[in-house]
Amino acid sequence: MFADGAEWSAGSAAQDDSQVCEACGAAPATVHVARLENGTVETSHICQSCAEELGEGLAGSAMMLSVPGLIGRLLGEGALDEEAQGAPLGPASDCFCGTCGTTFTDFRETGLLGCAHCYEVFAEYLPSAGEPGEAPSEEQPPGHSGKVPHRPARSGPEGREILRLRRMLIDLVDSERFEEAASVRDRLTELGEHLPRATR
Amino acid sequence: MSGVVSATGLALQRNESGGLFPHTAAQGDLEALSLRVVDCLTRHEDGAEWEAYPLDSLSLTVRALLVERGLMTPEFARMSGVGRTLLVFGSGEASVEVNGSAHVRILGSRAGEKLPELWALVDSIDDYLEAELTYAFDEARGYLTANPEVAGTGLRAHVTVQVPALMVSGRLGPVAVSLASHDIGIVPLWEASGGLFQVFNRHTSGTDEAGILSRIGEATKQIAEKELTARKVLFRENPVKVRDYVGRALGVAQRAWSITAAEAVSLISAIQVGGELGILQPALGAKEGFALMRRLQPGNLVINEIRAAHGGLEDPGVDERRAAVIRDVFAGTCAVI
Repeated sequence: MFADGAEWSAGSAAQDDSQVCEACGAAPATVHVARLENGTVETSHICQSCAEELGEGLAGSAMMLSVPGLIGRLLGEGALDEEAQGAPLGPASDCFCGTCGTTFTDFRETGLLGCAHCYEVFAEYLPSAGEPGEAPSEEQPPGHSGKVPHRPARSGPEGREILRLRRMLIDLVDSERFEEAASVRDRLTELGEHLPRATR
Repeated sequence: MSGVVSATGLALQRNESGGLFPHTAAQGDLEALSLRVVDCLTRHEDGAEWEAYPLDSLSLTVRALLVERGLMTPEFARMSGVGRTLLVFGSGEASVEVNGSAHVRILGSRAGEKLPELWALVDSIDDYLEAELTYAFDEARGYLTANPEVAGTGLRAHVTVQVPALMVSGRLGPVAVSLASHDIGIVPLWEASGGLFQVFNRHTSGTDEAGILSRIGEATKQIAEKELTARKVLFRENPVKVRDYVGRALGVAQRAWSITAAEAVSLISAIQVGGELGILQPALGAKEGFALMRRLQPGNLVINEIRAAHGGLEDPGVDERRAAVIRDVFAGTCAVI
C-alpha cells in the first residue's frame, strides 16, 4: 500500500505551495503543514522559524514536510515577482531541451524532465548533485553516493537463483525460521551477494 | 517496535539511457521497452515466477487491490495506454511497473519491519534488469529520473507505523518537525484512520541506499518508542477513557452490520492497542492487525471476499460484508476486567 502523498510529484506540490510564510508574512515559506481536522485536510505554508514555534502546539494528525529545494528554485523570488508583475521571465523562459523538446515552462509547470539531456539544459534550476536542496559543502564534495550501474550482470540461472533465495530469505525471516534463514544467507554470500546491515 | 510498525515498502526508479522518459516518449518506444522488460523477466524456464499484466487489462477493482497490497503505486493505477505493464513476482513479494513515472519502477512490500531483507530482493531485481537495460546514470547526480527529486539512488523507502496515541495526545506535530530536520517525511495512510502514517525518506540523493535504510529504520525505532510510551502514559493517566474507547470499538466491531473502510481501520487499531495494554484478550499483533486492515480495504474485500473482479467498490454490500468479517474475527475477543 502506498499513501498517495508518499510519492508526490514536484509538479503537484508546486501548484500548492506559496512563497511567503503565512504566519509571519516575512520569511520564505519552506515548510508545508497539513492538518487533518474533522476529516478534512487543511494546509498552510510557513517558514522554519514559525514551524518550530508551531511544532509544540500542533494537535491531531498534523504533519510537516519541508518544501523541496527544487520547488524553491522553480518558485524562486525572481521568477514569482516577475510573473506577478507580468514581466518576462528572462532567458530561462526561452530555454528548451533539443533532445526531447521540454521547455522551461513545461518543467516549471510539471516539475518533470523529459530526458537525461534535460539535466544539462536545466542544471541551474536543479538541486546540487548529491546535496538536494542545499549548496554543496567544502568538507564533502558533491557527487553521487551509493549503487552504480555496470556491476557484473547477474542474469541467467545464477541471477534466478539469487532472486529465488532472496525471496525465500524473506519468507523464512517472516516465519521466524532463523536457522534456515542463516543457511540461505550463507548460500547468498557464496554467490557473492551481501545483505545490508540490519537497522533494528 | 512490534506493536507499532505495520509494514515496509520500497520503490526504486530506473530509466534507460538514451531514451526519452516515459511521459515524453513515443508510443512505439514505450511498447518496445515493455516487450524487452517482460521478455527479460519471463523468458527463462523458471520465468513462471513473474506474471505480466498489460495495465489496460486490469480493472479498477484489481488496480485498487494491487495498490492496497503495495504492488502498484496510485500514480500508475491512474494511467492507461499500450506499453504500460505490471509484472508481479512470486506470490506478490515484489512487482515492476513499466513505463509509469519511470521506465521501470521496482516495488517491494512486506508486513512488519523488513527493510534490509526487502532491499536485498529489490536490489537483486535491479541487477537482473540491468542485464537487459542500460540505465541512465550520471557520476555526479546518480540515476536520472523524470522527477529530479527522485534522482540519485532513485530509492524511496517507507515504513507504515500505527501511532494513535501520539496522534490523540498532540505529540505527532513535534515528532514530524523533528523528522523533517532529518530529511524524513511522514504522511497519513488511509486518511490517518487508526493513527496510521507512513514514514519515508524525502530525498533520494546525498546518501547511499544503506544510509537511507538506516535513517528510516532509526526514525521508525524512535517513533515506535515514543508511541509505546505515549500509550502507557495515556492509559496510566486516563484509564477509564482508554478502556471506554477500546471497549466501544470492540462493541461496534462485534455488533455493527455496516462498516466503512475508514471506520474498520480505526476499530482494528483501537482493539489492537487495547490488546497490547491488556484491556482485551486475545491480543492482536500490529502485523496481524494491519493484515486485517488491508484485507478489509475495498479492492481486497471485493475480490477476495465477495469474489467480484469488476466494479462494486462503492456498493453498500461491501460495507455489510466488511462488518460480517469483523464480527467473525472479533467474536471471541473479550474485555479483561
